[in-house]
Amino acid sequence: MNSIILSNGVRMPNMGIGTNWMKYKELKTVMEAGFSAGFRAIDTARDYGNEPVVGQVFHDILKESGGKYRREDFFLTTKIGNGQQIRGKIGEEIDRSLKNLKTDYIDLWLMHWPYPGYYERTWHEMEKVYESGKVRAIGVANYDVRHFERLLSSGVGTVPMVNQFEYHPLRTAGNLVGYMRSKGIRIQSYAPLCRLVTPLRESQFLKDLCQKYNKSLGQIILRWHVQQGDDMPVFKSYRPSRFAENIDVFDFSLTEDEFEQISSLNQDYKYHIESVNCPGY
Amino acid sequence: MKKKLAYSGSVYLFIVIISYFFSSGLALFLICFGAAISTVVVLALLLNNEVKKTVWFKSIIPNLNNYPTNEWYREHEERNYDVVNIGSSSAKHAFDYSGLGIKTFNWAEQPQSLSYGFKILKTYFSILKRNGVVIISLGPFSGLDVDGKWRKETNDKYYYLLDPALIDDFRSVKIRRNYPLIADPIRSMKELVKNILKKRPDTKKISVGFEDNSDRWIKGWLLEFGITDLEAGLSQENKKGREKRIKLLSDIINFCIERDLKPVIVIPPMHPTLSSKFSETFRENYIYSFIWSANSENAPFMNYIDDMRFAEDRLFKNSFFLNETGAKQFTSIVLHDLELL
Repeated sequence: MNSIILSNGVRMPNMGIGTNWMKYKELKTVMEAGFSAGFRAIDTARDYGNEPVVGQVFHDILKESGGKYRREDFFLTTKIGNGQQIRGKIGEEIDRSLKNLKTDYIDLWLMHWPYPGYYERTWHEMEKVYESGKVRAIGVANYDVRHFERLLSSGVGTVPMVNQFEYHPLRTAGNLVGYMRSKGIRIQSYAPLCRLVTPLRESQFLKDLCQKYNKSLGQIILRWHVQQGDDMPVFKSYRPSRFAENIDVFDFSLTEDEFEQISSLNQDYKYHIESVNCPGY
Repeated sequence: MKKKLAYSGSVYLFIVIISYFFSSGLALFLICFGAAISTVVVLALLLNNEVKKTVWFKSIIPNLNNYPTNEWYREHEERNYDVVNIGSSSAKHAFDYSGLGIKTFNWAEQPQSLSYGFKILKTYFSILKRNGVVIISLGPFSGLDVDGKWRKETNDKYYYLLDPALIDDFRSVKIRRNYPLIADPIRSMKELVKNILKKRPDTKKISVGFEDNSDRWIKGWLLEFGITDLEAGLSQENKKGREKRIKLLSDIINFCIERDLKPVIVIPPMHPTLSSKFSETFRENYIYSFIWSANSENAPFMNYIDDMRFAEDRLFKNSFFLNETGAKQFTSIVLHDLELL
C-alpha cells in the first residue's frame, strides 16, 4: 500500500479506520480485522466520546501481538473539539488526548471544526503544540475555502497539512480541492462512500465498472479515492470482513476517462449537514 | 440526575452502615428516614413523568420534521434544498410550500425573535444548495428589539433545536424541560389534573371581526414596545433597540452572502383592516428605514403588506395570519416572483 507524503515529509497511509462512537468489544474486533487486512491508520476525535476506548483497544492489540505490531507502524489521528476550543486551553487538551490514547505522540492532530470566533486562535495554539513535538503533523477538518482564506490571512507559521472533510463522487468539491492542492494540503475523506445513497447505488455507469473489474461498488469508489494520490479515505464498519474487501483496491486502475466519469457524478451532495455540528459554520 | 441520586443513595447507605456500629437505634431511624425520602423522590419522579405527557408540556416541542437535525438527515436522503424561511408567527402562517415541487423548509416559529431565527439559520443552513434562497420574513415591528420582553419559557422550544451554547439561560431551560414539576409545580399539577380529566387546553378562538382583531394586535404591540402614538417617531429606547436590529439584520444578510446563499426580505400580507392602520409615516419610521439601513448589500425586498390579492376575509385566520388557503396562494406568488416556479 502506498502512502501519502505530507508537506513536512511525514508519511500518511492511504486508507484509515473510523472509530466514532464504537465501544471496546466491537472496536477491538474491527481494529484487529483492519490491522490484519493491512490498515495502518486509525481516526478518532475527542468529541466521539470514546478516545480512551480507542487508546485501550490500540494498546491491548499492540501488547497482545507480541511485537508483530509496533506503535511506530501506525498513523494515529485525533481531533480537538468545539467545546475544547471554547475552553481555550489547547496545550492541555493534547496532553489529555495523549493520556486517553496511551501514547506519547499523535501522528496527526486536527481541529475538528472551524468553530466561529475561535478557530484562528485555536490554530495558533496548535502550532505551538506542533513545535513541541507532541504531534507529528497538524491539520484541520471540515474547512471550506473561506475558512482557509480567513485562517491563512491571520498569519500562520504552519499551513494545515491535512483537511478532513466529506469527499466522495457525489461531492467532489472542485473549488476546495483545487485550493487545497495549490497549498499542498492533503485530503482525508470521511463518508468516502457517502453511505452508498441512491444516486450511487443506482448509477448504471458504476454498476458497469463493478462488472468490468469484478469489484464491489465500495471498491470502485475507494479506488477512485486512492488513485488521486493525496486522498486518504476513512471509513467505519462494524463488519470485520469489510476491511479486507475495502483494502483490496490496489490490483486495478481506473482509466482516466472512467475516473472523470465517476467525478462527473458530483451533485454537491453532502450526507452530513455540517452546520448542525458547527452552528455558524 | 440519576447519577446524582445513585451517588447520594450510596453515600447515605454508607452513613447508615457506619451509624450501626455506634447505635442500632440511630441506624434504624436513618433507615426509616431514608425510606421515606426515597418514596417521596420516586413518587415525584413518577409524577414528573406524567407531567411530561400533558398537552401543555408537549405543546412546547416543535415539529422536528421541519428541521434537518442529526436524526432527520440520517433518515432522509434529500439534500440541496431550494428555499427556507425564517421568521415569527406571521411567517409560520404565511408560508406553505406543500405541493409546489421544490425542496423547502419553513423555519418560522410562534413566536420567534429575529436573533433566534438567525440561530436557527446558523444551525441548519447547510441543507441548502449553493445559491439557495433564504427568505427573511419580517413584520411591522421587526425593527424593534424584543429581548427580555417575552416570557422566559418562549425559548424552551429551542431545547430541541439548538446547541446549548446558543440558548440564553440554558440551565433554566434544561430544568424546565426535564423537571417541569420542580420548575413550575403549581402549573404542572394544574395541567396534570386537566390531563386526567381530559380537558383540552384553552384555545381561545377568535370570534371577533377582523376590525376588532386588528385593534387587538395594535393594542398589544403598543403595549409591548411602549408606543403611545404610531405617527410619532421612535422613543429613545426603541431607537436603541432598532440599532441592535439593524446590525442583526445586516449580519443575517452578510451571513447568507458569505455562504453563497441568496437572502430575500419579505413582508407577508395582512388583512386590509390591519395594514390600513400603518400609515406612510409609520412605515417610513418603523419599517423602511430599518430595512434600508440594514440592507447595504441590496438583498431583494418584497413587500406584500398591502397586496390587493389578499383583500378577502377567506384568506385569513385573523387579521395578521393567513390561513391555509391564503398561505398556499401567497407562497406560490412569492416563489413565482423569485422565479423559482
